[in-house]
Amino acid sequence: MLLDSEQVNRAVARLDAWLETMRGPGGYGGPVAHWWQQSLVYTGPGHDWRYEGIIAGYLQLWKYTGERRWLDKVRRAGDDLVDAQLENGHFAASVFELNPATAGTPHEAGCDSGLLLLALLLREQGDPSWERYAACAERNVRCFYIEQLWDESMQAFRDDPRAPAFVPNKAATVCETMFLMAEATGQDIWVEHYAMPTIRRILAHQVTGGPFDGAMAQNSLGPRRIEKYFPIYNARCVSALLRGYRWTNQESYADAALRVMGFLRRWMAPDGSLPTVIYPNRSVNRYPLWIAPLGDVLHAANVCRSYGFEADFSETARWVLAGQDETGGIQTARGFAAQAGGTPGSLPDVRDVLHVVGWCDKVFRFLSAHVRKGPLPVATSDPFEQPCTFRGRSLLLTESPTELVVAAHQEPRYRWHKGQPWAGLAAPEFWLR
Amino acid sequence: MNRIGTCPVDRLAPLDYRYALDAAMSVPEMQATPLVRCNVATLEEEVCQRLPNRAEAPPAAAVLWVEPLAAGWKDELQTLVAALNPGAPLVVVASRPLARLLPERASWGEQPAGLTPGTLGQLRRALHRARCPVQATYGIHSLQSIGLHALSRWAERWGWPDLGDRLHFLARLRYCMRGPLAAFATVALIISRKQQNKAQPVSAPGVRAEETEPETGAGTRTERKGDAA
Repeated sequence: MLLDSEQVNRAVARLDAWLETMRGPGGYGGPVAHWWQQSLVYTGPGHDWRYEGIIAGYLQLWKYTGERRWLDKVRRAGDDLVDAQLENGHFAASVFELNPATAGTPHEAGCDSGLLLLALLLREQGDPSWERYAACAERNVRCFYIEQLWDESMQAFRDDPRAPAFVPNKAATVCETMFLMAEATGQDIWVEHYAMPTIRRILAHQVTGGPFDGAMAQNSLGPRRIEKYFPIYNARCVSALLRGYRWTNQESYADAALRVMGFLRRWMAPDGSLPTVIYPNRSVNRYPLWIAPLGDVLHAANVCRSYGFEADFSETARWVLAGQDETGGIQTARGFAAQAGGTPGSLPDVRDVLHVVGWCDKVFRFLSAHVRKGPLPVATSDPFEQPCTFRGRSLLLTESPTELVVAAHQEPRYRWHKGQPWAGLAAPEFWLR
Repeated sequence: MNRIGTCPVDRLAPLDYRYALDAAMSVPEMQATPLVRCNVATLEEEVCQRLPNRAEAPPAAAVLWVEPLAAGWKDELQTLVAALNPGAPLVVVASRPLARLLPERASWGEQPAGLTPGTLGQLRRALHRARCPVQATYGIHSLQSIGLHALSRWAERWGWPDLGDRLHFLARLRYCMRGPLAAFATVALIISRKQQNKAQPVSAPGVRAEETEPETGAGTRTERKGDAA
């Protein structure tokens, strides 16, 4: 993937500037637009998978630039999570689009991975505070993943303590955490007893042969497999499969990861975009046509490169970078308005234009792995406005470093003062879940 | 520890109630320290994880009233309106008769007033008489949405998952209703506001003054027709 390093450095600096505007008491907040649901009224901090990309991204910046400020931001993000941990080991508001709630999957595992990356870095530097972050992650892993979600008979992590639900991409996120736990504790049990059996179950969800070769079924409930293929979720399986390969040296794991990428490459449009979901009858729902969420596809392509995967995702990288606007944030999608059918209008849906921390972190992680060594340029998050529509209304979205406003003919319909846990104004159409 | 977002996801209340509670949070005064009266134990955790800090005693800048009960709602209404500052909102989240369709409700022991047809109409009129007129009523999880959801599941089952998904999202877009169709929903969200002395009532969020519901004439007839059905 050929990326202009100056463009990458500028994009990362601007993303960092925007991320700073999204911080409030308790961490990174803001509205969420997603395939399953929206969270537009709750705008407080989300202690979810956003911390996986934020911590990994800042950590890479620290390694590449040696600038102390990046390490401070990694530590600050780790402190958000330590402070957000509840008595029961969960993290408050850890369910992304389902917030407010806790015990989110794969979100708490994403947080744990972030904490463990930080702990491992600090330990390497001889900083005794590493134990604080490692202990926080281990507590969550034990209280939630081992005690509630590990299913001995299934030999895998469930997605629900009350039902035999299995979701490959979520399980893959937990497996990544288990590999980090093994690294942090020096105990193989995390991998041998938990991660590898789970990875084998993930493999059982992969399609072999035919037009969907390499695709991962979305989930299963008991013996019933749900054959829907979501490219962004398929991409999230790749890192865990490669870790499985590195641990066992069995080529089937690396092959499975490369076949996932092959599947994604075959469904990539000339402009670099990917359909949101592909159904076994070969129909697709292209909408919302993701932008920032494709950061995970780019990350997966990146980690596969050293395993001989040479397919070109440059168009996808260009598509994603084109989604960065004056704020420095990356827009979420195109065509949200057509999610339930029809074709998108000439103006984007409000949800398309939203910059969501839990999507932008994925681009941040990918891009920060490509920065040129040395200091990043100075960047700011600038005011931004965009005509858009939402549920039949013509609107104007404006975002500044301090607030997000959506107005119809200058009458605000939605307003969020950044840092506040709830939208200060949300007209009924914004109650949409 | 007072925090937002503490209810485990496998213990969440049905979306109907969560949607209504989130919508209630969009009333600006609700975001400070409102007085809360929640009469259903199962919903208490949901309320708590949105409003970890509450007013201990009147006067209150806002009141959230969750599930007025069949026994005693009239007295409770008087108490809650009396506790409100003039101009402050009283937001009611109440089950409607269609909530009987929700399987999760079967284990809830309490007897909500709204399950009986016509009672929410009485409640709205009682609010008006208590000088706390209703500004807007919403039906959450509308009958239309329920129907589309049933079609969605049917489409999935018969091998059209793509159509099933589209119907699911269409159902979500029809989840919240205003006007006469609001009565045909599982949960009601009623936003009222205690009158200020000789001052105009303030609008509900996102509702222009002309959209607020009249309490006499056509509005009252609509309300009766809807609740009776």
